[in-house]
Amino acid sequence: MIAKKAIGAYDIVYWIVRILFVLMMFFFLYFLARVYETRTVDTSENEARIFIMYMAYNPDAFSYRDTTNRVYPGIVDVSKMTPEMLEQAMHYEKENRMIAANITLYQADKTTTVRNVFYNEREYWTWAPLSLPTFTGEGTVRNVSDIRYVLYKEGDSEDFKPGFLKFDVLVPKS
Amino acid sequence: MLKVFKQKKGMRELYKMLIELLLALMVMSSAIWYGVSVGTGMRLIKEKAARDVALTVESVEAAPGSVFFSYADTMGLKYKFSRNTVDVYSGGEDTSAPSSAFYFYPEDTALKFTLPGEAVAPQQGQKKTVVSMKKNSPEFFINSYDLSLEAMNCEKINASGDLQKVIIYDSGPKKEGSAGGAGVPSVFYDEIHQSLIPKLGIIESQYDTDKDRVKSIVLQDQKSILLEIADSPGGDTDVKLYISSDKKSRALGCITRNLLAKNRISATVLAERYYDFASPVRMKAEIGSLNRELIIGTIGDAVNEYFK
Repeated sequence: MIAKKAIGAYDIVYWIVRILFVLMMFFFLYFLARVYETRTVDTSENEARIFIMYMAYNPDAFSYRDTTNRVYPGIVDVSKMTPEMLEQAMHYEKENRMIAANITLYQADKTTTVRNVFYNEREYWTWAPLSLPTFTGEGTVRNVSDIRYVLYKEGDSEDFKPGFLKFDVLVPKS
Repeated sequence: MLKVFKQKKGMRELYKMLIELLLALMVMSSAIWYGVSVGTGMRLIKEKAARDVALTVESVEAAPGSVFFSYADTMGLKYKFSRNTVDVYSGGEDTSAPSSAFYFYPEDTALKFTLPGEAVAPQQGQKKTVVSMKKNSPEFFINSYDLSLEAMNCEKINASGDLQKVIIYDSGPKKEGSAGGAGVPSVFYDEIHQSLIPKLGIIESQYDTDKDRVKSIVLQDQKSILLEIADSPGGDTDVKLYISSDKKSRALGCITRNLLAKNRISATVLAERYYDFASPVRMKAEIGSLNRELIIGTIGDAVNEYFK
């Protein structure tokens, strides 16, 4: 015959298991809802694509301007490929936790680098490990890469040379 | 049974059962409440709206040249712009405090930003407010304007002596479960029969959902107005009115657009490029899922106005 105390102890263990189960259920429901929310409002890919367009076509970003101030979207002025210029072209008042990028301009052979520049470099190196395909879901970082054929103008040269502009854009998923 | 609860052990069992029941109810109700609030609440809509507007501002900034862009899909929400940030509020929310739904947009430091001082919000009476963005280097304006102020000047025509007949071709998607073919109910069926046809009054109307039959009717009867009610392919909230190059068709489109604007519904009049019907006076209205009854009713008013 089981003693009264043993029944009491059994009850407690039984209740602990139940409460744990309820807590697990709560966390699971919350997790499901968060996943739904994150997937519904995730704009990280769009943000990365808009960033690429922004840098490629904004007159105040890479676009070359001639002496009359005419803008040539799609033609890169290498002298404008500096972190300071990028920061001025795309400025966030508070700490930039929105986007970071590594942008490289190659010659037409796709191997010789003409210029490499980072936008928001500190965050780029912080986020880079989280952008690996091993990590998915909220809190991780989306990596969008794109290579665009461009013409570029370097120094005082009058010629436009063919090249490739490579973007590695990191945007946190939230 | 009751005898059991009168005993000490019975009471304990009863309490235990009640507590268990209470806990189960708490878990269930909180789970349902959370699920419903996520699924149907405004929070997700506001978050999406904040991101959408912020990314639109960013895109307009990037444009090489001068741009004017109207963000018409304001969904009755309030938008507050401050440096780098757009906060989104629902109708009754206080805009003085930061919103839980916000997003950041970057600023091109070469541009001078002019932002609206107060939250951009639809006013009383369901006014349709559009958030406008204008880039005219070195200036960038974000503002709002009311569509009702932009009534088009319509050409004067005299249609009072014309044959007062309207052929209504309903090319909208068929209602779920209904087989294809003529006379089957489409998603617009109720609105057309309750809001449009009764409004036409003495104006004769003929309703059909079969394209070939409408084609043959139109071929025999060139003097009627052909109205096509269609589904918006992109699910836009804005109404698109496609008209032919005929003067009377243009007038009908213009009248309809102005009446819709009066009802705070944004509508665009467009010249159709390819069309299957030979009727000279025709208008195809592409309608989304919002305000269908009002839009279709307004088209009825426009037809009346046209024949006056």
